[in-house]
Amino acid sequence: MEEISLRQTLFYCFAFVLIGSASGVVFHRNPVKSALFLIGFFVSLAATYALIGAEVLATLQVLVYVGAIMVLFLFVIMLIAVREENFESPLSNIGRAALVGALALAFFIQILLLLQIRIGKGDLNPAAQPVAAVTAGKQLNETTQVIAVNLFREHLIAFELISLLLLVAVVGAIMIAKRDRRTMG
Amino acid sequence: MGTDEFLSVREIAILAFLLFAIGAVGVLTRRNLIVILMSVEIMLNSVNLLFVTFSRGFNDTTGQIMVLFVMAVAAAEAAIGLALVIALFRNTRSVITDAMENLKDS
Repeated sequence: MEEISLRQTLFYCFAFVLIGSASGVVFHRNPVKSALFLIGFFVSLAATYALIGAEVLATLQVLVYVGAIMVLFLFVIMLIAVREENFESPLSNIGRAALVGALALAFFIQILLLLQIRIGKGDLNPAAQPVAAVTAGKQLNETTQVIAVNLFREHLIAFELISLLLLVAVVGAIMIAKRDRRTMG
Repeated sequence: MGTDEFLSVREIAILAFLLFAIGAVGVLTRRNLIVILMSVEIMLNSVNLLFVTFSRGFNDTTGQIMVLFVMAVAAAEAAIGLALVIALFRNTRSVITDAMENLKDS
């Protein structure tokens, strides 16, 4: 605990899981399993955000990506008949098993560390954080307020344009995916 | 700061670069359109991680607001991209990029 703090250990575990699950997305042959690896990637990234100190974005990451985008991906994978493509995976069976085992081990270490934080032995309580590393003068629960005020005061036009963009995207997605009766016959 | 040293920006930046490289490899090497879209999501998320890191490192919340916008644009991109995948699958009965070899309206 002298050289490497608990926070750094957690970060390295999360980094390992992030790189491993990203490699799983890219190098797995079955798209369904790629999507499941991608869910693990998003959850680990949300945990990394929370570790860095962006709790709002961690919550939004889980809500938006895992809750909305991944459900969309899985629905599309189910809608179209997915076949395993002829993709030469660079990993052998042993390598794949080693990757999955290492990911499971990293998850286990994370759970142990989180339990250690739960019972109060960790160094993740906000009072113990170095002030220069986190937002100076603002405690963690005020970060949300700062973001909200900044968003609705200085970036209001961009915010409204984003809502317009989402509306256009929804209408456009429906129009593109709709079955056209004239050409389909 | 000695033992109180928090994670440096450099370590997280290296992680973000690695994730971006993995996503780029996925975009360039895979043939399945859905997997290509997922790799694009990985690249977007690595950039988000870099935004959040610099936002915390330089004590400025504008980076986190940018991440909010990137998330919204990524949601729109996923919706449009998957709709295009469905339309392509309806025409060519495949989502493999090798099967798309003509630009004719069929």
